[in-house]
Amino acid sequence: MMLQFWGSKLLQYILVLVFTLALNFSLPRMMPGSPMQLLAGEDVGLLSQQEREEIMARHGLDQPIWRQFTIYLGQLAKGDLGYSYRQRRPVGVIIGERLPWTLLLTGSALALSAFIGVICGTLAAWRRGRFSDLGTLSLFIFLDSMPSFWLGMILVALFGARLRWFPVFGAQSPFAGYTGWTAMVDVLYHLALPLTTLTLVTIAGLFLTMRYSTLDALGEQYITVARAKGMPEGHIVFRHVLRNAFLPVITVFMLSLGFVVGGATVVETVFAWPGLGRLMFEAVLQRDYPVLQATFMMVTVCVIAANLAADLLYPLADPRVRVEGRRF
Amino acid sequence: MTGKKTMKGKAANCPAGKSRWTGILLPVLFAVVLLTAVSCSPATAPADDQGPINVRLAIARDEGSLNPYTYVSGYPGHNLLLLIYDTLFQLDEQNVPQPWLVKSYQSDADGLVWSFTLHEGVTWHDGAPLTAEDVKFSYEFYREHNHGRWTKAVAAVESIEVQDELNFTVKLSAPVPAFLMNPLADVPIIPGHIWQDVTDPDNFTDNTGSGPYRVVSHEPDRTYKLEANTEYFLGKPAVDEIGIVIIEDQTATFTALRVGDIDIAARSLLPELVEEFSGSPDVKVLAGPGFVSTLLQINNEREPFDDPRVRLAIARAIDLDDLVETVLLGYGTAGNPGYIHPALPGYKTGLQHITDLAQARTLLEEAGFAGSYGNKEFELLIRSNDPLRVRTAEIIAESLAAIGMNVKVKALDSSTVDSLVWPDFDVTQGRDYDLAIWGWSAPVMLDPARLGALLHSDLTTWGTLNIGAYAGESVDAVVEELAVTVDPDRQAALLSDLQEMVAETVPFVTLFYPDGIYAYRPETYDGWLFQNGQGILNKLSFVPIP
Repeated sequence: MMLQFWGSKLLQYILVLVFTLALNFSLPRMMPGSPMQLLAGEDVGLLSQQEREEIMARHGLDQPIWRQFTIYLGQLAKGDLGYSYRQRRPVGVIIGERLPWTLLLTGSALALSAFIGVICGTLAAWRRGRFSDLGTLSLFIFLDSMPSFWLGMILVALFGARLRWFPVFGAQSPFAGYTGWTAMVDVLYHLALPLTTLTLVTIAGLFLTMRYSTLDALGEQYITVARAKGMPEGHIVFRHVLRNAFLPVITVFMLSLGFVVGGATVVETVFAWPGLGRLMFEAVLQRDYPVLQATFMMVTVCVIAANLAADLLYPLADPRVRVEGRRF
Repeated sequence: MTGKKTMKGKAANCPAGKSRWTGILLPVLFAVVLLTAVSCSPATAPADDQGPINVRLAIARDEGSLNPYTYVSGYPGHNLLLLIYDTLFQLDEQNVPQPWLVKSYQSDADGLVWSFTLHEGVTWHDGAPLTAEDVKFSYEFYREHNHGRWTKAVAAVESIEVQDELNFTVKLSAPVPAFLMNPLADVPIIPGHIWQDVTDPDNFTDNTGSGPYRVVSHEPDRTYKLEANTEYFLGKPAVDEIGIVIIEDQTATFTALRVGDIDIAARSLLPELVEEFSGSPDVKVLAGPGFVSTLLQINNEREPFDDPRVRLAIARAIDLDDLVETVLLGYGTAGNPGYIHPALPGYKTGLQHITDLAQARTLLEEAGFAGSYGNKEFELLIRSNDPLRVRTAEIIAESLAAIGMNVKVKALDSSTVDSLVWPDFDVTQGRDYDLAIWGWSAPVMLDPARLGALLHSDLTTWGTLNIGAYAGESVDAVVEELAVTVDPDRQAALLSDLQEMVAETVPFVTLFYPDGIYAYRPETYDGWLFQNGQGILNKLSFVPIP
């Protein structure tokens, strides 16, 4: 029974993966526009017909689309992500350079916002209707409604340009040649503003979820019973309320985790952060097909993996869904 | 929702003492987030007045390994390329070709045979001497290994005969009107001893040149470090090191300039920022004519725009001076109806744009516009990422509404606009638009051969940039004659005729040429030289003409 359940689950994930691979492959090619300028350079208009055909043939773009797709799948099976049209370097190498920066920024922003969101959400629910609850609630809703590029620009203008506390672009001081401990400090120093921006704009989702699910749990009858038994308030909150309130938060968190590799295009652009989001955005604008395919695939795989992880984690956190074969 | 009331009651029962804890915790958490690394900021080194000059330059995109086959953009890619590689000639401040690698030269009367003598003692970055063999090798390499810019440029070179290390003779199969400018001042010379075995230059990344700077490091999408070539044959360049950082975002670029993280930006400053920067004591602003054109491109194939009267009516309806004042805040030049920038020697003096709404209405009336198209809505395409062009389009739509032409502005991402106006960048594949705001780069302004490509009706051979499918018989003849005319007077006469024809038949409306506006920090380096129409990022900013 259990085996059958996980078998069908796995099959489901594989189907999703294949479907999205086909979609990732065909969507960029269906978009209007062509990578010709990237392939041929700035004087693309002066090319003769024969030169154009040569260029298309060199990149396999003269083949019918199904043939291109099978070639792509063949390469993918060998772990070859192709060459970027723009950078003329292997896509795998480019992603390898970008991924750590993205994970550093989006990963720590998610961790930080989850930490703050959960704590503040719990406290706000506990203090429902009080000033501290209404204050944090309106603050987070305010932050949530603020466009991240705007917040980013304000932080840059204030803490970067005016107060000069933080650098205004990049992830490292260029040409500084820092090593070891200094290099790490330098990165943290560059990370401060983008991390703050991203944390502030992502906090709200987790905070609101945590607050509402805590409120929900606080209203349960077993809490009334616990209170009636004279159980200490802290005990009630940490033992009984939080364990139950956490469940929806895990879902939200895992879903966000899947999108972590996609980066934060807007924040990365404002701070010139060398992450994957910017790479993807550039690739879309310029129709750099191999980069588009590879980055979209990474996001797909991570979202699927995060879902899978959520599926696996849920029974650990919530004994009620451990019932054999039960769909959740 | 039955639990709601209960919860409220419960919350109110909480001991009051604990809310103080919450009140303190929240601000503390925020302070931690905001101030995480204030104390960690690495100490900045004090500026050393006596030390070498290191300039930090910001560009918007990566330019590959910066060799002739891997650089990406016409600007600033080609400009940076020519800091690393040399050309036989070099355009001066006024865009007149001056001998550079070449010490002396002469040609026969037909302009078909040219002999050149190179400077002595020119070396490659690896120490090997640059000889006439390298020149021959480069031109032959470009002919055999296709590149959008170089291959076409060297097509007319029939043979190069090397006499000795310094002397060589070039034979042309047909006269080339601006031979000294293109190819000689455009095509970089590459080292034969490094490139001789290269078969796939698109994936060859070596960047050993002979230019005033050499690339010492490149972190893709982040930085380049260029170091002065102290052995340069014209003397040590003025700046010792050029550190290039890639900042894609415009606001981030100019914030970095303001705080001094960079010393100069390759991108032009937006007109509305000029005042702010001019007021700063640390930043200087240098503005001058730009040869990049901004056009209202018209689809000459599509009714009713196939009627020259309708196109002329469009031109008459637009007030170019108003556009320059409103959109560019005066930082630009109103378009010559004959296309060529008034600051160029080829400009036909006296051609003036005329705004005349009454005449525009009469022209439309004559063309029978109102009857067939009075209710039709035409689309004006623009790239959404260019705020100046978006504003331009809005104003033009209003101007055209005033003569009864209903135009809707449609902003799309740039690749989509390209795919409608210039599908696959191949004019023979047709086009699907009414009107578009378009522009051509500086080379399409400077080189008469490319001007012909905008206008000739044979799209497969001559008219490869004729994205409006304009057709004018007399224009074709002039373009063909211009392409083989070397006599400067005849050239000027033909160019003048061409501009007059363009002004009369309006294949497109030349709206304006935005100024190049460059902001830099003079305390680091103040030797920037504004090359007319092309900006300050050029060899002459670092090495004077000999």
